[in-house]
Amino acid sequence: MVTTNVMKSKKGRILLVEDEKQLVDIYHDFLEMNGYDFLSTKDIAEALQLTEFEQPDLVLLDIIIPKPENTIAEQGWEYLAAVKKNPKTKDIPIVVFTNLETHRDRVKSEKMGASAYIFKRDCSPREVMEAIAEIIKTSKEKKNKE
Amino acid sequence: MPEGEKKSEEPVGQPGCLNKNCWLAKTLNHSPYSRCQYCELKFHQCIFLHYQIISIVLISLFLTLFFLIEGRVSELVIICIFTLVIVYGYFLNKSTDKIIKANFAQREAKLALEKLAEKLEERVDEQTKDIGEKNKYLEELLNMKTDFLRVVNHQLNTPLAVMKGYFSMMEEGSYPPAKARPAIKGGLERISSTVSDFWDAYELEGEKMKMEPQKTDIAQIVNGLIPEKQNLQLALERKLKIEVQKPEFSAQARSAFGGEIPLVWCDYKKIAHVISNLLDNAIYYTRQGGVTVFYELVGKNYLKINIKDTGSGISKQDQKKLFQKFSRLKNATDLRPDGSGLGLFIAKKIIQGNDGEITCFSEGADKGSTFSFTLPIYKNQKLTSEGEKSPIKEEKIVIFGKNN
Amino acid sequence: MQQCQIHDDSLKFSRAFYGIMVLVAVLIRSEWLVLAASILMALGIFSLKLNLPYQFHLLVIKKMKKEKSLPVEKESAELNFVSGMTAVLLLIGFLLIYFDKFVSFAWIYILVVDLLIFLACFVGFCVATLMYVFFKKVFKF
Repeated sequence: MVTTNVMKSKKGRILLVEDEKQLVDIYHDFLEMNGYDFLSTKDIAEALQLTEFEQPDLVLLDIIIPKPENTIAEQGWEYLAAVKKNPKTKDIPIVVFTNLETHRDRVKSEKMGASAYIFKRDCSPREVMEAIAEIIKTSKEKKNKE
Repeated sequence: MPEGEKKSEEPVGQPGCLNKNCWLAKTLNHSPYSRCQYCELKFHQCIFLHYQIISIVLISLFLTLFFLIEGRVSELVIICIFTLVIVYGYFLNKSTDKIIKANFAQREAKLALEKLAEKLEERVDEQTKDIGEKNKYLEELLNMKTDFLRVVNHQLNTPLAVMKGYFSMMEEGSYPPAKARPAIKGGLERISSTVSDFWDAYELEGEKMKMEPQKTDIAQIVNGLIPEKQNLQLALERKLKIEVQKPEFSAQARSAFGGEIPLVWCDYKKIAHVISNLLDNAIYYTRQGGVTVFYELVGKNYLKINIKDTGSGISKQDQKKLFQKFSRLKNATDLRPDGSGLGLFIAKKIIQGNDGEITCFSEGADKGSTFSFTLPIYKNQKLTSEGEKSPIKEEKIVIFGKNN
Repeated sequence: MQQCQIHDDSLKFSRAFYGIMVLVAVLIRSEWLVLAASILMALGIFSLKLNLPYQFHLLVIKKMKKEKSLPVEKESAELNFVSGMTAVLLLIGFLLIYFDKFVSFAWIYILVVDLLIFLACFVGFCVATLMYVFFKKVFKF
């Protein structure tokens, strides 16, 4: 787990829920280089805690997070459901960041309350960052309106 | 099986049953003994009858004998004989009861066993059939799995090998990175599209592919693709001529759809993919000559796009298998060594999902082939409301709620 | 053919009763007892209801014993015939003794009939029934 300083950066704080270490490293370097705070974890329970207590501006959520008995367990959906249920975290934008590429998965992401869907394999870190920026901007505008 | 039939009112073994085989029971119209309801023997087989006859005979015999020998008949003798007959008769009665009942029970058991065996046979037959069917299904699945693994292996390993090759040369320093990079990038793209293809082919088993139809200008797609295909290395090497034939529709038709070629209602991206695929196929399988695209009208509602090549053609037998998964023709590997066998299968799914039909025509081997597909002509169709309120595009990044 | 329900054990009882009655008659050489038995049996020609020992057993002893037993169907004609036949045979015996002809033979004869009654009672082997069957076949009814 990678933690950050107490002071929140201007651009925003991103939580990445992902089990593939190399990918975490890429995004850690890239996002921190571009002025974001970066948190990450590969454990669902820890992710839920972090979401509640660190209140990130956006969560990048991998769906396939293996369990010891099931290497293709889709635990990400459980996290998404829990976050959207918890009143303290339901307004945090969650972006489904996965290699599941079917239409069904896109529809499911939207249905379960995700703010966006990103197909991990084909997107470069830069494209991902641009999408993140846009989503954070939109969500901040929405918050200000309320 | 016992001869004859039982009393029609009662079956054997039930009280009140009359043994029709037994002459005595029939005449008396009732069973002389309680065991007779279990008996199915004829009267002359009745044990008790034998006893009765013997005892009468013996009694008469002894009395007569006694009289003849002694000259008189002693009361005591009579009492003795009769007592013996009565006593033995009593016990014989009891044991005959037991015998008849036991016989009956045995017969019943045999019948029950036969019935059971029959039933079991039936069940076994049923199960065998069931297992046979399941077996067939499993075999099919196994074949599919094997096919899949083989193709996956091949389709993924090939670009990986290429990439690894370039990469290691780059590492050694014997190959300029600037040249290696695009090759590696190409390999990455190939692997990505193979993985996507597999998803498409297997996930949509039996389902119609979801389409996002829109007003589409086919001519534009085709015209855009032609120069690209003409410049493919293979096309240049073989000096193939890729061209489009101008359609000759009647003036009436042309005024109806306001142009040379009518607009169609289809999913732009996917149809473009199909046309590109078909053109690629045509080029790959044509050693010399060229590829021609021409249009036809089918009725008032459909436009037919034909892609004709002067290539190796397809035999009548093979034509039937063309659009199946993994089907590749015998000489295909010579002409297109890296085909996955899924291209036409996916093309068929796409065309069907767009309310069209895809067909192939060939006069035979080495006589060229024509692949055709139909699409509905645009007549102000609109997207149906079901599930299309905010269509989720098939993009790699989709931000939800943007249209709200 | 008219059928009626009879209780087998009551029938056995009545046969035993007659058997004992006649046996006693033979042992004490009382032809009047024989006549009495014959007359009692003769009543049974007409209906089972008149077969006194049978009814006695059925109504009295059965109630005392409080046992239930299943009746069996038999042809009433057969029972009537059997009763009648036995009655006639006993009557013949009685008459022989009464008119003093072949007296010793008569007693033997009565003894035999008596033992046949016992045979019918204990073994279920009733000669009279066979004769009934035989007559039925012969006269075909």
